[in-house]
Amino acid sequence: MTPQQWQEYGRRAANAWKDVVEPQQAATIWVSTDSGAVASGALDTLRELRRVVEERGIKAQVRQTASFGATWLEPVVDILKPGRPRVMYRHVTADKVEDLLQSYLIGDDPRADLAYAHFGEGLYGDIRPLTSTDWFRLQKRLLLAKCGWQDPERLEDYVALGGFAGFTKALLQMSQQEVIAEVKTATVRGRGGAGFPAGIKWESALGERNRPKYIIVNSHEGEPNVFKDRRLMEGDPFAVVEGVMIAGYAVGSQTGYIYIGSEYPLAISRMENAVNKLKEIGLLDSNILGTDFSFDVRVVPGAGAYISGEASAAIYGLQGGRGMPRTKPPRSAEAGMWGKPTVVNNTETLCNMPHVIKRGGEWFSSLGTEKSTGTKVFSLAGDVANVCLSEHEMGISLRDLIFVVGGGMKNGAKFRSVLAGGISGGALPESALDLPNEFGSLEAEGSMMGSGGYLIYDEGTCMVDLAWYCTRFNRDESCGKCVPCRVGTASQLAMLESIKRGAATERDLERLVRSSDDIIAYSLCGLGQAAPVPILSTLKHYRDEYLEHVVEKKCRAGVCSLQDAPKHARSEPFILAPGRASAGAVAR
Amino acid sequence: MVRETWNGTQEDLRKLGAMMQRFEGRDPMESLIPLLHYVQDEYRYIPEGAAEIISDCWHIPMTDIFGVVTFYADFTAEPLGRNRMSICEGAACYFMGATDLAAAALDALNIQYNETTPDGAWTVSRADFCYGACHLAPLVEVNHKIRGPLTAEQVAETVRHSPANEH
Repeated sequence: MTPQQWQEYGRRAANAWKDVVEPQQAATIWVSTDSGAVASGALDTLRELRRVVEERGIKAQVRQTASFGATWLEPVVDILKPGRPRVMYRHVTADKVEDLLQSYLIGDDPRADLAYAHFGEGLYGDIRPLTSTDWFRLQKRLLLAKCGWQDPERLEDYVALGGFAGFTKALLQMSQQEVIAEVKTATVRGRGGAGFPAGIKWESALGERNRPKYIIVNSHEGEPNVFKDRRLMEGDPFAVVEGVMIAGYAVGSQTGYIYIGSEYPLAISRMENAVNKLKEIGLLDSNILGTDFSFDVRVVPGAGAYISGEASAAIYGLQGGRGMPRTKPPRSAEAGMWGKPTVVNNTETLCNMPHVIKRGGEWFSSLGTEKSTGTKVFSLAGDVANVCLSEHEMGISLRDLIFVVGGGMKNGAKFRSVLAGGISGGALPESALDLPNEFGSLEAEGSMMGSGGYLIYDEGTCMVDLAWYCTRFNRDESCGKCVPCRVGTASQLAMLESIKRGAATERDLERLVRSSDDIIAYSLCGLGQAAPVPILSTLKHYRDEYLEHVVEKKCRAGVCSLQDAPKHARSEPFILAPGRASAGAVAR
Repeated sequence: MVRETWNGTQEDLRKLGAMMQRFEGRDPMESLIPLLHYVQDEYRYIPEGAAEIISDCWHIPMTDIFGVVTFYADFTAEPLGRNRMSICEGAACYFMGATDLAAAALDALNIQYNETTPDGAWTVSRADFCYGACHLAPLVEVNHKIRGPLTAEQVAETVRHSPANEH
């Protein structure tokens, strides 16, 4: 494909897109069909929409898209009538489809009772604008901007919405060094959790003489309740490929691997589709757009191991081996895939690159905070009213995220804790909620932003149980290569179990702290080094609850059995006898 | 012991050959895990006979193949049941009642996690990853379909009305 043909392609795509968003005759109906929506029945909704549109002779085109992020409202259907604002409808299960289309497309009642919001300004009938909703008003959508609009399987849509402008600018107008300089100006930090600056990684890979070089997209998210990369791949797969292509051009690589957890079948098929579409039109080929840059992308599934998300483990997995991390140095930029220079970037990190190149590093670094530039995609789950995906400028407080965007606690329950940064993050209490979300801020309270997956818990949750849960996960997912992690997580699990059974004493809490320090200091990779974080953070913020377990032998949430507690310890008068330190006093 | 689905017949050899054909011209080590996915999907385990053929043709030692099979949760060395139930024990589902769902399913089938019923109808496993459908917590995946939120009774009902009781 020549640059002229590519421009022509872009023009055609933009014209076709006009019919979708500025329809003159027929309405446009969107239904989100990513995996979360499908689980809520979106495919039945889609089938019913098509049936009703055809049988009733309604002038409308029915399009698939990915979730806008409001997962608690799934299945979501959007309707755009010519000359009207686009309206977003919530919980549109198949049985509601006929009623909705009858009212709004055959009749003219926009059905405020079924709507969530509309995309225009002011009120539309009784429907409020999306920009006034708590869920949306704080968002800054960069990576999620196309989700909910484009059909993730159509390259035309992606291009019409400005896709590949970044890559073509890099390829045709910029040198490799200029691309890397732009990324460094933007200070894009790794979105997988560690926050390492991507520009520095690229620069060291560019400086390597050894060839070939590889780019790996680490899309092996794997962590419970972190689903932002999944949504990015399901909703904007071409952006991921564009990001890899920019990285490939910048460091002088010819091959990119997209390594995706096997539990993401839809993400895998959407990524494969994206790669195939680009190969068909000749944008992913040798001598791309007439330059001497050639690039190939392969989509490779993982096989169900959390540790495969660690960079060196991912490389071993791609090489067909057991995903067991190795010591560093050498860093993978020096010796990675097949011993060659390899850049491993997180999915979300790479999705930022098209924007960085298109609009410039200066612009990008004006978003967010000084330490952390740009936006971040967050996933909220647990006992929060709005289980959702949202994107904000770095620096948004946890309180805004949970109580505004997340809509507060489910069923009016009382907030107890947020497990920030996923399993390797730490649990934070109410008092820490005003901290900003950026790299290095939550660390002061023993947690981290990590990959941006937040779990919110109400008062029915036992914090010892939470630590036990995280430790069990880490024990199960430890690859077993190094002793501190393999043995340490197992022995910590046993200690937590004895606390839950009521057999532990106060001294066991100190043992937990000591063993945590050892595991952190001597483990080989990030999994082990972060494994004790949930224990330490709960001990820090919820020590009184631990003491209740070990001294009073009670679990306020009623979760732990405490079956092995000594008989006398269960009698309350003995524990609360005068002169004896109460749990609260010991806590301080 | 669940009946093996691989018998080393001409048909089995043909199927395996077709799977391996898809990786023609690719690096064998890079192709191993994707190939094992095909084998696992077809036979519900990695048969030793199939592994031997892969080992011979692609020059990968058997220890390496079974090293991979035993490391990753997606592969098993023993046949799984015809129906699969994965109970999400993600950090949302766990605290919203996943353990009750697990107990209900395992009691109804009289097996433990990662075990298969003697008639080969069901395997129940624990999902420690994310299905990305936390708005449906607590949820289970039955034969690649996510269902939730479910109660313990509904889960027990699902496994009872299954091929498991039809033998």
